[in-house]
Amino acid sequence: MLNIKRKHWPTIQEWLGQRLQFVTHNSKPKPALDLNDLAFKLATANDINETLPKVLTALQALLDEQFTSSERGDLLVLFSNPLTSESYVHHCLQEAPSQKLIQSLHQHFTIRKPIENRLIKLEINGASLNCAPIRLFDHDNQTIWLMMCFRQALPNEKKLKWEMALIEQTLAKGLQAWFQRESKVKQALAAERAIYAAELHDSLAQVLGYLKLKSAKLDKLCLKAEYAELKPITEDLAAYTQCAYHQTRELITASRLTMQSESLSQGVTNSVREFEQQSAIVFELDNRLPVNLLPPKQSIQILYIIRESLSNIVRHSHATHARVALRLKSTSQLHIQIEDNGSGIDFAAARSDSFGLQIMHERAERIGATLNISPRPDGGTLVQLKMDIGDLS
Amino acid sequence: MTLLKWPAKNLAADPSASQLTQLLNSLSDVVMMLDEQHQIKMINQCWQDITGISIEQTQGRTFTDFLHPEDIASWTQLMQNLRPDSKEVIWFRLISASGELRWCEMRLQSMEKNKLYPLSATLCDITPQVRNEQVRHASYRSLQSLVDRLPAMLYRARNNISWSMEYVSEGCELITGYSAENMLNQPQVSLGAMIHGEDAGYVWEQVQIALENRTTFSIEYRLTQADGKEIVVQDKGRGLYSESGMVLGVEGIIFQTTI
Repeated sequence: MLNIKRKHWPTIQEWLGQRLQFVTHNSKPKPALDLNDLAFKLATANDINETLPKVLTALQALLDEQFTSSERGDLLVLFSNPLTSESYVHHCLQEAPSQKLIQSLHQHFTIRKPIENRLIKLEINGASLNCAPIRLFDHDNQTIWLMMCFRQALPNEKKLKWEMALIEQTLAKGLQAWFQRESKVKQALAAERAIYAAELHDSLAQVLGYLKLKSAKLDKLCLKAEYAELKPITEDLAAYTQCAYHQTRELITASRLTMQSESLSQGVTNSVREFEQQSAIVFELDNRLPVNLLPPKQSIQILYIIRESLSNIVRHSHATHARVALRLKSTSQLHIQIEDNGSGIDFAAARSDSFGLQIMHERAERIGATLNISPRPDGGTLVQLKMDIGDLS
Repeated sequence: MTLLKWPAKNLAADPSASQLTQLLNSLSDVVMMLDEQHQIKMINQCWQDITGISIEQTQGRTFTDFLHPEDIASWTQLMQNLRPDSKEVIWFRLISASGELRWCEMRLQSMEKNKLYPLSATLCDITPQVRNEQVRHASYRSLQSLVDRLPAMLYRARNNISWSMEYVSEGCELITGYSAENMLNQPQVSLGAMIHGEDAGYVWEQVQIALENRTTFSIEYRLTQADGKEIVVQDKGRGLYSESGMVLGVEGIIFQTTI
């Protein structure tokens, strides 16, 4: 038998009210952060430079709740590529990390062989900073690092490890999926371009090749006095067909080179090697550009212009030395210079079939670049291409 | 045997710091010290002479700041594999104050035993040598690609019945169906074995007559290609002689006359 003694029995309303209060008090957790949702956001990001900082902000807030204000640190993600000596720091700070910090991280993780799970002490502008790195994963030649940078006291190691585990898992899952997706998209794009290039090669280039032969023959036949009236037309016809054929072939080559290497730098290197084999000219390549600077659309046009210049050097210049220099003059100005010490271009005596220079100008215009072809002060020709590529800093 | 020792009396008293500085600055190679961050801690005057960058602007900066971007990867790789007892040599391009490139050879090692850092290094400007090498290479490359693209087989063979080859151009594949590499390295593949049985004797005789008379030969014979196909080729050549007149070999060119 139950012996319930109570001084005051609550009314049903009071009792319900108490229960409700109890329930609402207990189930008042902070809105749970869906980590899977964050990983998904990363995996499907169109622009990782935009999405990753947002995700880091959410994760930083989650972490901050677990530590006292003196124990808190800043979350950073570092994409490190030792092969190209490039480091990209992603963060969610109001102000970008100091150049000194970025340089130190670059030194520790990209230039030197980093030791995993070892706390790194950095001296930045007189202040010391403790950095706890976690290797997330490797993709191609890149290593993705997650790190916490502490300005003050370090939290308890076990607690830090415990709290970082979920963050690590979320970022690794999301970023790995993003890298895989990017690779697939790149592959699909390359396959698509390869199909178009093959199509162009098999159809248009073949027909143009045939037309080139026939139009040249026709032009020769019209040398006879009885066809004198037709001569200017056949001459034009032969020259334009020759030009169209040449352009098509060069476009196919340029797109093949861009597809193969995915970067302008590699395409230029391959082209210089190719033209080297056709002559005794000493080619010097001075490429100071970061690896993935330009999208394929611009790379193809620039590569076309460089190849056209190189082919002119080999075919017409009688040069002994040629130099191709690719540089960033500021954080937003791309300068490309192709020069030779040959006989120079005689613009007045340009042949009727030399549409090359005109096409180079057109292609430069198409990508918003300016092209200047001039005699080189010490003899030879100087081709300069300048392009604004937006602030890279 | 006497152990050669540096006589103690030849050793000058400990040189002063200013003498050491004077000595370092008089050298025509760069001498430098790098710390763990690969920052330049000490460097001599020659650096300024080579790069045009002052010592003040250089000290404290990371060495990769002066390297050509394309050479940073090989520098990084070298640094990652560096051991306290290793002595390394690396070539790279430095970007001078005017933006021009200087080719350099660096030799570097740890300064202390059993401790990797700091590093000591000497740097030598080898730009003229590299330029000369580039010119030499371009001329060789041009000749090599011309020879290899010819639709014919250039050769230098020993004067034996197999006509074993010392050199064949890439055109070998077009004429015989065998790659130049196979022709040179596989003993069972020989020009002698490919010459039609009925023509082999005539070929040998004609070449020997030309060698004897120190004239050129021009002969036509049948050749069986790798896939069994028979073609007619023209072979023009001459002997290779020592100063004393000894036949060292036969050089010539073979091209196809009919299909």
